[in-house]
Amino acid sequence: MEDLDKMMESLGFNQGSVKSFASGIPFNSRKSDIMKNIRKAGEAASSAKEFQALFFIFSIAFTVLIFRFFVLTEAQNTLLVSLFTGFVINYSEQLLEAFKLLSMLASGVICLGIYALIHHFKNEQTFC
Amino acid sequence: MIKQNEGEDDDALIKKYIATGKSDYFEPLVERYEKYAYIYAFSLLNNEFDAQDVVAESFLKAFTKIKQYRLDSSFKNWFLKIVHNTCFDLLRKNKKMVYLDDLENGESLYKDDALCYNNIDALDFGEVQKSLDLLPHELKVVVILRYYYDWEYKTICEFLKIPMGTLSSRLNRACKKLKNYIKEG
Repeated sequence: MEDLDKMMESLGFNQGSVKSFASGIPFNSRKSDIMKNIRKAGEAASSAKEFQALFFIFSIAFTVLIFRFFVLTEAQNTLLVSLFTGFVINYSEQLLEAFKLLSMLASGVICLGIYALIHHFKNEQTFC
Repeated sequence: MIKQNEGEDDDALIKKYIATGKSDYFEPLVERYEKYAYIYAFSLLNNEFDAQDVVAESFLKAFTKIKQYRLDSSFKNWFLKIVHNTCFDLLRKNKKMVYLDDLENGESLYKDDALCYNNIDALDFGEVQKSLDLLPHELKVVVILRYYYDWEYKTICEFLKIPMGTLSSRLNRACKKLKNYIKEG
C-alpha cells in the first residue's frame, strides 16, 4: 500500500497539487435553495403528523359513538360509556395492533375461502 | 438561533432537530458540508450543475431520512455516502456510468513492471486530472477518497463496503490506467 501511495504521488497526487485542485473547483453555494427545500419538506411532514393526530382523535370518537348508540342504547349508563372511552384512549395503541392482527387474520381467511371456492368450481366443471 | 448553533457538533444539532422538529438546526450542517460534498460530486460527475443538483438532493434525502442516522457515528461520512449513491444513481440514469469489465477484475497488477514508480517523471496535476476523468467510476471513487480526501484505507473499505484486497486491486488498476492514459497523451 505504501508503494502504491508513492506511485500515485509520482503521478502528481501530492498534497499540494490536490489541495490547489480542490480550491480551484468552481463553487457557488446554494445554501438558501437547499434550506428552502428542507423547510418545505419539514412543513409537509409536520402537517402530515397533524393530520394523523386528527384522524386518530376522530377514530376514537367514532368508536365511542358507535358503542354509545348501538351497544349501550338500552342501558343509558353514562358511567359505562365514560369507562369505555377511557379504556379506548388508554389502550389505543394495543387496540390498533389488535385490529391490525384481526384484519390480517380476516385477509388470510378470505384468501383461503377464495382458493377453496376456485378449487370447488374447477372440480364442478370437470365432473359436469 | 443559528449563530448559537455554529459551534455545536453535528450530533448535538441532529438531536435538537429530532427533539424539536425545527429544520433550522440543519442550517449549520448545510454550511459545513455543502462544499465538502460538492467537491466529491464534481470530481465524480465532472459537471458543475449536476454536482449542485446532487448535493441539494442529498441534503433533502439526509433531512428526510435523518432517523436512519446512527448518533455517535460520523454524520460527515453518512452524508457523503448519500452523495455517493445519488451520484451513481444519476450516472446510471444518464447512462454515463463507466463500468469495470469482468476481464479486468481478474487481472493481477502487482506483477506489472510498468507500475514501478521510479520510472515515472513528475507530472502536471492538470493532465492527471484529465486522465482521471477517463477512469471507470469505481476506480475514480477510490482515487478521490484516498488522494483528494486523504482517507485511511480502512475508512474507504467501510464506506464502499469492499474488502481491503478489492480496494488495493482497484487502486493498483487505477494507477496503471492513469499511467497508460498519460503515456498515450
